Amino acid sequence: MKQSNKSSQNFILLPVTKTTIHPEDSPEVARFLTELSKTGKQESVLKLKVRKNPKEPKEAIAVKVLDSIHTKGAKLISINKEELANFRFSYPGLRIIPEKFYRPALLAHEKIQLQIRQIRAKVVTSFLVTDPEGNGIEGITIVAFSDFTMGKGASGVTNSAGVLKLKLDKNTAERIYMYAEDSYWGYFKKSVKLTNTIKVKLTPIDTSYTDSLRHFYDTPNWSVIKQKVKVGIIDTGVGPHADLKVTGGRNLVKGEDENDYFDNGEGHGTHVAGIIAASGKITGVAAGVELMSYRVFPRGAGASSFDIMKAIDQAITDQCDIINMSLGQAEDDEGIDSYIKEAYNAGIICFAANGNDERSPVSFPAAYSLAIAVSAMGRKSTFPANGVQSSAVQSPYGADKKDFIADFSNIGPETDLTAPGVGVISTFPNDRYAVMDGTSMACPAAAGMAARILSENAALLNLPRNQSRADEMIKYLAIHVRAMGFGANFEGKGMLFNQP
Amino acid sequence: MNFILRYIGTGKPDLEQITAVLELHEVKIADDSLLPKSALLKADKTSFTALAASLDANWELIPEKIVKVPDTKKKIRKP
Repeated sequence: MKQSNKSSQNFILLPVTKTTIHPEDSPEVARFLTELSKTGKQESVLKLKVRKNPKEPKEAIAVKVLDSIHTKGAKLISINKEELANFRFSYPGLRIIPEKFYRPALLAHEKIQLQIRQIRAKVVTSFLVTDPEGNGIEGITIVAFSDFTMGKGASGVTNSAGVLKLKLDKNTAERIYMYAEDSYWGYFKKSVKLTNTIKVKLTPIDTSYTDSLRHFYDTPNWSVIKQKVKVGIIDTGVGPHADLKVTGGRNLVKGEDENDYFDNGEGHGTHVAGIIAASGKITGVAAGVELMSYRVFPRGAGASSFDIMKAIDQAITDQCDIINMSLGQAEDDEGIDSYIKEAYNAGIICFAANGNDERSPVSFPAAYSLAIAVSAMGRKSTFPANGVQSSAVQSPYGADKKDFIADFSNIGPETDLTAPGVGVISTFPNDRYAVMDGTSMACPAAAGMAARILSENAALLNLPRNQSRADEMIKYLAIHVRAMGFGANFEGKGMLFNQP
Repeated sequence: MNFILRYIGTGKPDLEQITAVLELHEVKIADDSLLPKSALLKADKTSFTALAASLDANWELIPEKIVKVPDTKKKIRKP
């Protein structure tokens, strides 16, 4: 292994398509790799310029070139992980792959499965969940823990009268969570003394409420995008919803009607779409964009990686400018990666969610170097005091101490951007509204902002659809990113804003 | 389990040849909408093992994966 200093890590730089770059494909990438080749033999430290708002002080990224295959080919570099996002935005058009080391395959010990002990019921509590007028609400999920660490407690769903009886082994619940699918904020409380009946009034969603998204982005007062920008959403489908206008799309799920690209009923894709393009009772960050819906999730089941590949291929055919993928998994998938690469070569940028596995490594495809990986952040006082969102508050806090990185957000050096993803109000199928949390919500906030920013640069959008177009789009976005003070491992380069 | 057949070579893929190889191993194409670059294949595990061994360097087989809809509520281990 080539040695590097402790805070640095080795990465392999590769052109987007092949292992070497032809100057005709991307003269800037060819020139850059040639420059790096010149220093490769000395292993000297290069000071590379950082692309950022010209009004801010100049910065440089220290990069050591450790090895090279061909002048215009792969480079092994050592770079501080904190600088990776800066590097990606400053020098787009390259795949950045961590150097890996393989070991002989050894048989691992079997994992020991811990069994949750049966609780002996001591207290029966009847929960009554109502709206502010006192009417019972059906379908509210309640989870009550007598011992949160040990996972002891009970859960269920309220009946048509808004009632659920739960049996617990203690007089006090350490934590109680209540979730509505739509129309209401959730509820969270610690150390609740259990009585025969506990009544809880849920807060209905007020579409004029300033949630975390609208705290950072004053969407109700923004103008509608005039320049044609097309955003493809690969998800559960979109709508129908009065606040959303879907230009087109396709259902890629095997055996389903390819013209039914409405939401499959789960609401995830409709919520994602509203964050980008809603225009009605709520306003998305990029109202006015052309919305394309690519449905890959069958109802109640997972999406095939092949259907996701087909969706990206269709988005390329439809000439989208941006693709939003609020989905992911722990393992890399070469098939999906190869189509993200094809999209990049067609001048399209793919945004992907970091994943919601409590600060685990960034999921794929977000972790793939040609995708823009987005973490989720939140802000205190942008959700009700007893909302479930209060349980997502965790350090690190930003330069403004009210800002925080969500406890559920995956993090790591592959993170490119952060965006609001805690307690976000958006559209839900059949003209309803819902509050959702996740990097799934942060991803469209960033993708939508990118669409808005790019819409102001017609010359850029009119470039030929090739890799250089995608490179230039990323460079233009780079000057609109502001660091929020969390550190690169949590926020990448920072958050997108309208003004540089 | 399904597998995805991907063309990773340069130039135009020889579809007649790959179709013949698939037929030989009794592997069916479940979805041809991404041909000639990719196709979703359906067969039993034995057929795939034999197919993988007989593919030339221009083609590769990768397992189809299933991606779940991400959680949008705080993930808690239900009792």
